[in-house]
Amino acid sequence: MTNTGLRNSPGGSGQAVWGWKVAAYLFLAGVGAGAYAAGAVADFLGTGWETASRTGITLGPLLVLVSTVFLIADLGVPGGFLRAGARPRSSWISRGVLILTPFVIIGLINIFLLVWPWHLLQGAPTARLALEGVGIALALLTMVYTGLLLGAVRPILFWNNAMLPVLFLLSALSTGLMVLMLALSLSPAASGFGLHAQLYGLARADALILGFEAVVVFFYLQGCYASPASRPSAELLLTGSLAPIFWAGLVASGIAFPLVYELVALSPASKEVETALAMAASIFGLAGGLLLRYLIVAGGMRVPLKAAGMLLNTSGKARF
Amino acid sequence: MARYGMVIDLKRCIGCYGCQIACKAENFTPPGITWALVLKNEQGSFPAVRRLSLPMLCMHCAEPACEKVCPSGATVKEEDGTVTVDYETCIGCRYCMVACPYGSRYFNDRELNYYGDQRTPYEEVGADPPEGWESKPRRARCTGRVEKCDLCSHRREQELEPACVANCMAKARYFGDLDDPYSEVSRLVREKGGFQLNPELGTDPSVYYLPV
Repeated sequence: MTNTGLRNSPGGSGQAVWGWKVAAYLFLAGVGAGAYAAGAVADFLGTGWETASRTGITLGPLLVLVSTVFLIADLGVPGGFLRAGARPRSSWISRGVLILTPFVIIGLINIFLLVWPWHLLQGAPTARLALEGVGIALALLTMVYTGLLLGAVRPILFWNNAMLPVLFLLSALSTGLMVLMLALSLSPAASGFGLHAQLYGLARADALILGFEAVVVFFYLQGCYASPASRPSAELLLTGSLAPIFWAGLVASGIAFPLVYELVALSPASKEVETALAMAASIFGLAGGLLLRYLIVAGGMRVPLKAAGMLLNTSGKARF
Repeated sequence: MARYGMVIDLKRCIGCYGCQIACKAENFTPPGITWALVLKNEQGSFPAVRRLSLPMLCMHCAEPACEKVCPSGATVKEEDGTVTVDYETCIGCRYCMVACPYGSRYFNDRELNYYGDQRTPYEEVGADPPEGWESKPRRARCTGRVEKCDLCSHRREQELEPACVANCMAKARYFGDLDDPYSEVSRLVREKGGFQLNPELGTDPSVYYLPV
């Protein structure tokens, strides 16, 4: 029950204040914003992209709504969630409320007027592009904000990092494309020519973004490892208790497998997209996006306290 | 305006945990919640070994990181320099716990007794204080909220020092106003080289330590 010197030596486990619910929230908010952005961009591309754009515009706001369920369930006082928007001048949670709320409202308007139950926007291309332009801007803010939310925490240098918003942005775009690939490959008409072309296009876009994401993951961890203050967090992922999830879950299944699949599917030699493989690749890629959020949330370690020439750890302390 | 703070003399501290227990007794904190925690560390190998006891509490920072991230406005920097949590406003998001560099904040996620389901008579007093009892019924109020040291606001109202200071048998703790240049705490910081924990994080703590 008492504190021992060993417990307080630098190193040890990551943060345990925020757990899987926050990781799930960050992930789903990213997927939703990514799916909406992908759908709206596909809508700009014009004919031939109807299924992908309608699916993305519909799934996006709904996934973001689901994400907030996790955030509210994580509160100690779930009924007080309305107070979360009270201090946008200094708190990134409040700013998040002011980003997510208009995003969901614009997204729902977009669904109601374009997909179901009305189709008013179909004949009004200017209004549609204007609405979707605003929607895309809010979607991008949603993706970046999840990184800034963690980045505002100064004593956790694993989060207080300029690369993190970029990493979350790329992961949100990639998982957004993957949820569309999954939805399209699940549809009974997946072998039809129209869907086939859209699936191919989504895989091509995702290969580019996932490739960038892999590079950013590398440089993010490289940068964290190079700085003594954030090295314990990087070591937790690379060789410590989170290493199995990092290497097997994120690197092999969540990034390498979907990326290799997409590159093979796109090669001139392959004539068609295997829907079963596309489904598997997108499921693994989505799981990778969730694990990425979990690894970053769980791997955050506070800088040790410095006193009398010693370093003392404040996380993982014994209490009574 | 005042800036209540504390000076802890690490040379006088004998690491007895008296402050930690006095705080628990005074504030009825449940298991796992220690507003005043003593951290310990050892360094070196035989025969050149050093030990350090570092008594912790809320640093009542001049630039509190917890207050900046609080989305509901529950955490407030008061006129007297202390940082407080309003249990009515707190939504238990724990952003402040993540942002505090000192680990001085605690989440009271559910009611917990020291000995099973049954409250001890002592815990009964803490949960439901009798009429005229000066201690605040903190336990009953703050489930689902984040809580922390408030420099014994109920004792200060009666012009008593915080419990951890009154109870320190080594006289290693001093309480006072850091804004008053003639106060004992200001003099100690000035004359004995008082230092703050991790000042590079920009929090400007109101708890100073005197070097070993």
